[in-house]
Amino acid sequence: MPHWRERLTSVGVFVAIMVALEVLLPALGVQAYIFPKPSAVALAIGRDLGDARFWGHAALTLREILIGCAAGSLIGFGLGVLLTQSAFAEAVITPYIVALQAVPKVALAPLIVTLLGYGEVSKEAIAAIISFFPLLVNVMLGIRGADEGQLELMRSLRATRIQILRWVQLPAALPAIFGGLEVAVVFSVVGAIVGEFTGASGGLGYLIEQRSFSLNQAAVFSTLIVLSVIGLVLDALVRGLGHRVVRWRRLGEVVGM
Amino acid sequence: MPYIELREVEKTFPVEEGEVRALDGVSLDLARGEFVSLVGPSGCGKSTLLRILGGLSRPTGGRALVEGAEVRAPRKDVAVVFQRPVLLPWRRVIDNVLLPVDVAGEPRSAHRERATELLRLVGLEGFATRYPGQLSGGMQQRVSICRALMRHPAILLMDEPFGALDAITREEMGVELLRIWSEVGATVLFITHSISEAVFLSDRVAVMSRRPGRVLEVLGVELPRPRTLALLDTPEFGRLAARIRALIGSGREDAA
Repeated sequence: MPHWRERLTSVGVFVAIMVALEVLLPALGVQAYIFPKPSAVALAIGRDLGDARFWGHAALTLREILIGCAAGSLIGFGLGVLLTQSAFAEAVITPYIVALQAVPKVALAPLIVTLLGYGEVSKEAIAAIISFFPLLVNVMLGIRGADEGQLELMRSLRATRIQILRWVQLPAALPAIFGGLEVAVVFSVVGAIVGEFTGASGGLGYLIEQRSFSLNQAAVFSTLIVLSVIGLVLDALVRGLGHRVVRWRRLGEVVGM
Repeated sequence: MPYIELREVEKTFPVEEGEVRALDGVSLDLARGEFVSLVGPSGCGKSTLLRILGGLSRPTGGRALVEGAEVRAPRKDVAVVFQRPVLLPWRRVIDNVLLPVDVAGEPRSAHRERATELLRLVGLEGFATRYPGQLSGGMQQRVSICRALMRHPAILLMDEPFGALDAITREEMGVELLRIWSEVGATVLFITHSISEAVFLSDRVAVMSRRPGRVLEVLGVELPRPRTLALLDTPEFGRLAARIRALIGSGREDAA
């Protein structure tokens, strides 16, 4: 944990940079529509946070992220578990997965928006596709990485496949699953925004575009900051949940693990 | 009919360069309630033999029988204690002991008392709610012994359970094991590479040759029970240990 001195210095640095920008930007003749002063950005943030319509956009983007991430993660998780249980299924499906993985998901945005329209569904679809892979890969890695000794123990107890999955493989995979979820959440933010850039009628990405076109840079910065906060909070939530669920990990080393 | 019978058991493993012959016709009988140790040099196939009896591996030749029935899969009346404790780190100690109950599909509440009693037997009753990561290796191994005893096994297969412990703890654990054994009763096949441990614990000691493993000789241990550590220094103990050491030594030379 950083000491108060380091914390204070971090804050001090931030304040110093803000003050410097506040003074230097106009002094150097930088136009407001290229790089706004911190005070202008602060004002824009204040305006936005008091504006119900802004909150509406934020809520829309948040919904796209959450629904898309949840859907994609669940499907990725489910398929991942299935593939570890059937060598045949894995052999059949893996080539498709490898092929799809190679495609940069954000490049699919125009295609998806064309297929699913300007509404939030297309953004959720993009976020879902982005979330799918981290979960699929990580749940498989997590399950495959289960300790051989534990599997043999379960066999010696005459456990069924479902029991082994439930009591050994999935708990063992939880750290990897939450790692994948963290990645999925962060990427879902990107996915939703890119979807909105491609074609939307609302949301924070839509706002960024609109405000950019109308050269309202301070408002663009404000939107970016709010978006970043959303991303940070979501990431912290997933990480926090992961830590709580995997509490036992921090309680020391287990012999032979 | 012997209770446990290993009849000319052979095991060959395929490896890259061909195959490895781990067991070369092992024959051994165990009577009900006996404590038998299997001692031999590293790699002689002791663990393989135990795993075959535990239903975790199939012999490539010969047969492993319990009460006349061939062992094809892990049996309900057989419990295995592995070399590593293999506790599930995400479960508390008491829940690790109760794992066999979960797998059997029975309610934990019905067995909680026994689990607690077993932990008390090994001196770990205060650690029931801890996680395995908070216990030392020796303590974890004791928990795994409790887990093995949960289902009242008629047969206990132990694969060098004290291998990871220091010499002093090993001796103490040996005494404790005998105490538990006298209370729960079971037929035990105990694998070790420690000659003194084998003699101290057992009714009989089967000495194995080096790979490919077979039984060189089975010695009866006529020492009185309950066994105490003082027995380690008696002439009779020394004689038995020396005989075993000589057998293992000659087994080593034959193969050389």
